[in-house]
Amino acid sequence: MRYVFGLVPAGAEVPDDLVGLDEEGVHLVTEGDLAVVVGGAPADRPLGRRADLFAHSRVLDAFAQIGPVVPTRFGSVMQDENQVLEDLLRPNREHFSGLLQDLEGRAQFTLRARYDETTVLSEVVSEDPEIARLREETRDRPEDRTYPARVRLGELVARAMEAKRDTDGRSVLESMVGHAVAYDVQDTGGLDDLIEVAFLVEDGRRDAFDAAAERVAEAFAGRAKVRLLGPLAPYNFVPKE
Amino acid sequence: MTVATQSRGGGGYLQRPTPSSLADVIEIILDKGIVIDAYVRVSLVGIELITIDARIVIASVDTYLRFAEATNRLDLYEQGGKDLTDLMGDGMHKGAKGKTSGAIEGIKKGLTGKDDDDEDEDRLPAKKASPRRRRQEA
Repeated sequence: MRYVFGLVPAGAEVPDDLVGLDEEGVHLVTEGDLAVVVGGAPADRPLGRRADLFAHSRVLDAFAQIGPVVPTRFGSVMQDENQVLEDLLRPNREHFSGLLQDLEGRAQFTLRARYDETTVLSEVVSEDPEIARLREETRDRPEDRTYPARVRLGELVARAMEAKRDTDGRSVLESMVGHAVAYDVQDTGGLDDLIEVAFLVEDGRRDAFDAAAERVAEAFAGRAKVRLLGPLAPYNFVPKE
Repeated sequence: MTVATQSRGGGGYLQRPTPSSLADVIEIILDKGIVIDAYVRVSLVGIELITIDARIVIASVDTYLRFAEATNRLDLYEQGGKDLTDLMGDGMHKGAKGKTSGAIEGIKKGLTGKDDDDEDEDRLPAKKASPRRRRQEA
């Protein structure tokens, strides 16, 4: 079984010591100007261990450091290299070449901003009199006697944080999008999430992009922590189907 | 917004984690990338559940109560009547953080069965659906 990581231009150099799943080596299956990055796949167990996930991203991000790469979805496994050639590479050559061309000289960076819970909750209380009142009403009182008020308080707080996320998220985007070719805002689940957004950045614009991210982080210092991951393979910028 | 910033020294506010945490990797790679028609279906452990959970917009009574609790734990107006600006400085972060930072993290932990940065488990937890917290996205 062959684990399929993604597509790269033929002749891409496999980084030294790069290993995939179960520490097995990684190599290319090449046809014409295209190559598929493959590695060993365990046949005797399901995929999804943390090491599997890390291996997938490690291999793809390593190729992203040196050139364009089109990631395949986590868990793509083919029977053997012949099937990789016959069923994957040959029937899709033009499509894949086009995708790689579009990604030439570009890499993904993912920016995640997460609120400092204490700070933002403090803002919420100070900005909304009803929240402050409900808080006073429910504090230090038995939970069973204040149940409806507690639910109401929590609901208002959750909504207020949602509103903050909208405003602050927009501000992050406004600061960043000018430095990227494309961006993709991800749905986030946690109420302390401010925003998670993937950017596709030209190699030549990386410094400017980086500086913009630094400014965003500084602007939110104390209220939110901003993290920048990358350069990554362009996971968010390849077709979903 | 007048929020006192914490001094971190060196001016580097932007965090650049390498390597990424498991939570980062999950969020980054799952459900992304081209889909190969002919690939052999292999079973994946618990991953789909985790992705779904991670994306639920949490809006349940249970969650509201946690938020109410976190809000009630804030030491806003106590300690000799300091005003909000004072409290938002370093003192508050150090003083109140430990008590209040638990609520949201707790929700996350409940959903995914793990902390963001835990490095110990070898296998992702395949979890059961928890009907109370599974609500449709808004």
